[in-house]
Amino acid sequence: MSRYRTTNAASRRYSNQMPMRDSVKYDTKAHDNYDGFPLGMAYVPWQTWNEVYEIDKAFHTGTIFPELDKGFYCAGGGCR
Amino acid sequence: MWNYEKRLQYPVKITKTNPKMAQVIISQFGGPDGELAASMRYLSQRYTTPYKEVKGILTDIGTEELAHMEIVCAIVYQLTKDLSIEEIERSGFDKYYVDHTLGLWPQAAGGTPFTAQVFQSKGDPITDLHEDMAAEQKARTTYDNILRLVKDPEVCDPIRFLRQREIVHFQRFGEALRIVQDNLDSKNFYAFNPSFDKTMK
Amino acid sequence: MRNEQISRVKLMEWINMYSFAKDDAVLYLDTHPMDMEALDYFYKYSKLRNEALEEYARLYGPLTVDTADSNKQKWEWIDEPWPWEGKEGC
Repeated sequence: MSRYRTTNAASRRYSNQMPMRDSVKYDTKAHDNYDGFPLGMAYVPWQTWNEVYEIDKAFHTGTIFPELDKGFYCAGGGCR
Repeated sequence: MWNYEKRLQYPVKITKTNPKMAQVIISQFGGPDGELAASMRYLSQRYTTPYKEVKGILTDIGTEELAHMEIVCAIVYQLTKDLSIEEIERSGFDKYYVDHTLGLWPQAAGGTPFTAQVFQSKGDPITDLHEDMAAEQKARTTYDNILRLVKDPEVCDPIRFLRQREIVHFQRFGEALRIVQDNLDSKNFYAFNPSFDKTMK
Repeated sequence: MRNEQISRVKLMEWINMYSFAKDDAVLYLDTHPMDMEALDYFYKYSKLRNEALEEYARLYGPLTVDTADSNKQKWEWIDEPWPWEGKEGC
């Protein structure tokens, strides 16, 4: 199985089940490995290829990927 | 090796000069979180990286950053084109002008010359990729700061493009880090440095 | 794009867009080398870009030294404008 598919499933599970900082105390040994994401490391979720922008919009935005299109709303001194 | 393509990755067409703005935007040329620093960081790190996907992404993003450096320089060039001595004096650009006339020189907005001290090439792929992810966020924040100051849409347009590229680069370096992790033992990612400790590869 | 001569500005816009689509696909492929959709996308825009670069070189002078047209009688590579000058077709 491609490594990319397994880790995508893992990262979706991770985002639903990640214990929040203020939650009840947990047994650290049992939770050392959240669905394959050990402590002491940073993990960026895997991107998958979905719909891409038309090339005109992509070019003027700065990416072909809608999921990575994250504009700045506070330009010119005021936030919208 | 590198080839050159005689166009900008994104066009820059600025019709009104603004030396004060040029003095700020020059930070993305020679400043600590600018495009030259980014390019040199990634291109330097790639030599000792053990994984082909990571060599690829460091090479290709390092190359794209040179194209971005060119866009930033084009912006500064057009914002200072044909300035009169009066405009230079009035804007405070005189301190740069005296040493460089209207020539482009890599420095930060505050005047600090470009230096390799602003980046690290640590020779450990986990460390280097964290450095790279941080670098992309620092560049994005710098573009955010520029966008708050800039009112001219002809300047905003390429700046927004450059800022968006930083977000994409961050995602790619994050994925490169996932690839490094996949090649190591998840029980202890830090047991050895795969760029150096040969016996445990 | 074949029957009448496309303007320099318009052809440059197409080259910019095809090239950018290719650029973003390249970075994605570096970390997803087995992704067939991405590979197809890359080949599609790489081909369109190369054809547009050849056309541009024939009509307006080369954007890469490799596309310099052997039918021309002078070294057009150095001709103005250069990209940072903000002139048409850059």
